[in-house]
Amino acid sequence: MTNLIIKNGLVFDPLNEINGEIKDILIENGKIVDSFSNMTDIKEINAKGMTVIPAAIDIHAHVASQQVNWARLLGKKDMIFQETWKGLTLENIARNYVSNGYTTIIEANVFPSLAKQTIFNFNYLPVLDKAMLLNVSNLWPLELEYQKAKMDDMSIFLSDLLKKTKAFGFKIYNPFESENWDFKILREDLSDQGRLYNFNALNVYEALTRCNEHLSLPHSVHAHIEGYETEQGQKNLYEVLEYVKKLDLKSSIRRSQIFHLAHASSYNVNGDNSRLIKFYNDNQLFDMDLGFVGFNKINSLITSDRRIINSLINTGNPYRLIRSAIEFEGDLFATFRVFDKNNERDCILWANAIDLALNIKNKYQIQASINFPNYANISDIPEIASFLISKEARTNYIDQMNGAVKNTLLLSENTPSLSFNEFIIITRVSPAKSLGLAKIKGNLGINAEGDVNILNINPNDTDLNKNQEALKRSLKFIEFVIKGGNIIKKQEKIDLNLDGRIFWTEGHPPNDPSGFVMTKKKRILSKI
Amino acid sequence: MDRISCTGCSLLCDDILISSDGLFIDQIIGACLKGKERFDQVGSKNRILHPLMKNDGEIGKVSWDEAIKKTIDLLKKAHKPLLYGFSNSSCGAQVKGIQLARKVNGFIDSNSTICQGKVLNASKTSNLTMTTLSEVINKADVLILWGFNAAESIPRLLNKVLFSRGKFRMTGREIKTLIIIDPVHTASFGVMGVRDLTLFIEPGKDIELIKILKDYCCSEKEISEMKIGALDKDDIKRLLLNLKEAENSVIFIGQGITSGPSSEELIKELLELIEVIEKKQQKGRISIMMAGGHFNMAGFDQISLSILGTNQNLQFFENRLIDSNDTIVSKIQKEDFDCSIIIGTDPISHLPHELSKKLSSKPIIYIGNQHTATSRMADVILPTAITGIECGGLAFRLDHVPVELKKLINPPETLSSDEELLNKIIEKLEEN
Amino acid sequence: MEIILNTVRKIDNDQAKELSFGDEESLKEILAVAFFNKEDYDNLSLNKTKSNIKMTSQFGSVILKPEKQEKLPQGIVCMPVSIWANQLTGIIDNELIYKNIKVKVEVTGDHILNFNDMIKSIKKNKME
Repeated sequence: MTNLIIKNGLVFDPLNEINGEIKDILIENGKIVDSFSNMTDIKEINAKGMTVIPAAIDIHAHVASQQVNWARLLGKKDMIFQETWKGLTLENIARNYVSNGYTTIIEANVFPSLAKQTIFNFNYLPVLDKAMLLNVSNLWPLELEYQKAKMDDMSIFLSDLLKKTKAFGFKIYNPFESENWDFKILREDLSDQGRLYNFNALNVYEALTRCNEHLSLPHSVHAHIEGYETEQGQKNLYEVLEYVKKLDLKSSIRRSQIFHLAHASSYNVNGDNSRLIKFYNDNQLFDMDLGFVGFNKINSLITSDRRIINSLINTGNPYRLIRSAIEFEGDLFATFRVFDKNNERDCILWANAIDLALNIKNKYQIQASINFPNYANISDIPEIASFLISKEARTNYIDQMNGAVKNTLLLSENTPSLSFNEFIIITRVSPAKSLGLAKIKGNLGINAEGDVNILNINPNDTDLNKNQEALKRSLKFIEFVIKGGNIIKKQEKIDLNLDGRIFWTEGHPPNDPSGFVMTKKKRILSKI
Repeated sequence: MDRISCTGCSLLCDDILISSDGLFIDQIIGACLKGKERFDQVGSKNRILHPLMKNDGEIGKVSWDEAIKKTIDLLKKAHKPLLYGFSNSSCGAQVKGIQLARKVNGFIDSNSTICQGKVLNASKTSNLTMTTLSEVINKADVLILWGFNAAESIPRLLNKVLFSRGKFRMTGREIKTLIIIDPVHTASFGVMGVRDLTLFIEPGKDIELIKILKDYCCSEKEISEMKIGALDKDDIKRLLLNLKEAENSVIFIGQGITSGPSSEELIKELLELIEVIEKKQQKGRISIMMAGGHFNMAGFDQISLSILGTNQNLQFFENRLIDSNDTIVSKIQKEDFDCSIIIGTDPISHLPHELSKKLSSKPIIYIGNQHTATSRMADVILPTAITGIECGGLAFRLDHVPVELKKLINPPETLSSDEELLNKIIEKLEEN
Repeated sequence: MEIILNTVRKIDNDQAKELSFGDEESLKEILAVAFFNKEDYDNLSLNKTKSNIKMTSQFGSVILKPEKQEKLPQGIVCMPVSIWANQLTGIIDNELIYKNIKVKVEVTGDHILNFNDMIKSIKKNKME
């Protein structure tokens, strides 16, 4: 492990209330210290005139699950896909993330039966620390628990499942939608009882949210809302949020919220985020990742949402579709789509992410994400940063959209942009806190891991609103990316010869002394 | 007794009970004939226990150092080596194979490319709707074996999907309809019941049948009186009805579809038929499952997609993957190679003789645990442990679900797993 | 006789199994065979001196032992997948063809090559 001192940099460490202070950062044995115990072998970086911030964390990405392989298969002979995504190979993904200052990534949707593949792939995803969220919202062995929210039994079973799959948390994704589709029905009401099961989708949202707290998992339950990018999704969003709010749950000590909303940009398809903004401003127990859109030449759509797939098919999406029903646990889909600046709905998605970022007051309730690779590329982050920090950048970009589209965007002219500090919060600190990892990630406090970015910019001297190019350049060409004190990027040179870790947890399950619950579940599992 | 996954075929049954003392296997309960034969390979007389090398035309025992040295020499001399097989190796070994190919400017491919990989390839022009075994067990009511003799290639498959009582198929066999489309009365026909349907289609007439089904699926017209490929009009109607009205139907695609003439066109037509039926269905689903034989054929596709972004015809040059229009077939046919590494497969027996002749004309490095026709032609033979019995690893079932394989007993002395051996070769190449 | 050949997987006629547990004789007996329907078999007109068949496709030829198989339709001959079968399979347009191959069948008194000789003949052919 390298011992490293970063001298004279301008440090932004929001968690520790350091907001542009000249300060040295000392890293010994991979962790941040206030003084070295051993003065030998210390590498030195002179960061004078440069900005020193914690490394970034992506809280919602698709990189190592089976679904991504189907996107790779579809794109293997597609020139535009290859050019834009470089095959989406594990190594290129790692290179891309490291290049943009990221050291930690969360795989957002893994079916339990396919978890072994994700772990295998994680071992070939160099450098990055990673974790996966297990999609447990279509599990038949939990039929009774979904119905009756039997917390102890559910917790014992799911804790065991987390341990076996080496997963980090729970994903709720369209509970039992695959069963609905067996009757070729798209669910219109989340409170509808299932045809083949005696509960409804909201019961599953409730059960898993409660169970997550019962197990004291580091991250809150991570929820996708059914029907995203459609009007139905907008309706479902508020139904779920209000329902979960009524549960009146308390957060565990590890983090501040009890419910995480995935890619929040994707639900208010009419561009009106006011209700969502108000809900979040009034309810501190909820957080969200934003889902910025990048208008890439082509994007994969790796999803488990039937409604969006149907809507793409009905509007004549020209790309091939691969789908599979996975072991009684839900469906996966992979296809491609193209976001278009002339398309009103696409532009609304783009604007929504920014609208939410600027108007939700407590920046610790929001985390930047791009739903990689569905909505944007990680290399779009510098430009996204400029939209958040610079009103001029925002306005110029909107000017490129066609007239009809421009007029529908409800982004308020008067909303203050994010400060540089707030940008650091939503890309670094807030994800760390949301994941229950704030002791070791997302900050430069004592004992935090030495994951650092050094940027060639001084926000105190540069007007980031006017000089967006300087901001973008500093994020596009990060001078140093450091992980655990190891320099993994130095100017253009990237070193991927470092292993990352896999974070997983089994939570704190209640006792099952006679193994009664697991025996019961094994009997159910053997029938499936 | 221990519970273990079987590597006899791509079903990877994980309910086999084994008793062993770590050295020998005493009892095997639950395996089918193919599985039992796989376990029996541990002590078979055909087992290769020492490295072997050809000297003056004669094959003789050598030390590991000599065998590895010869391997390295052959690889260093080669400018265009081929690496082929990998469907009987763990995913870890497949990754090492790719790393080795990268090192030696090799062309690497697995058995999948000439088998179920063809269906995956069809995704460039057709949608793919796949399913997995638990879905079939719990929901399927119509099972179609198309050019697939399940009883003799994946023996326990019908056991699991046809005879099982799933959550929504509690009535089991009685509620399920089996349809077999095959020119020949195979052993699979032995399970036919009263509701089932057999279609003895004439060889080569599958495309005609599919086109008729597509046509009549969309229209309300009567199927004309003419016979299609020796099939009765009524049987065709029954087939169509079953496809359209099923609550959950699965078409198992066998070698009858992937190994005949015009297989690419046939697969494309079949996938389009599935799309057409899906649109017509009032309820329910229709999916495919690819029936590949080797236990980890699906694995090579999965790991090469993750690591390289593509899965077939992998040509490396100067440490990079380059575009290639070649396939393993064209490479051998054109003799565009100067050495081959064959791992866990027997191409001299299984490829058409035009290719086996050409393959045998260049040096062969054989990695495997049993003697085969290929090993008898090889210049150097490197024996390895049997994956899933003497070493563990990850493998993918025929429906692309990952299964962890365990080590049950120790391999014979000095033998390592495919993965460890390939790693050793890579390290030796780096040393030199 | 002209007939269509399909190479098939047969659990009791498995080359890998025979290599492991059989011998040269059993390999030949179990794999170097072609299964005919009863009528086709009778039409072969085998006799004491000509009890084998020579099967020829556009790709090659091989000497085999003919056998009867119940429930095989007329006009189709099946062979288990093996090194013998692959003397008749081939490549068309870069595709491997293992099924639906037109073959010509003649009776012959020639011997069936055993496994070793089959391997030797593959090498020898190349060297020619």
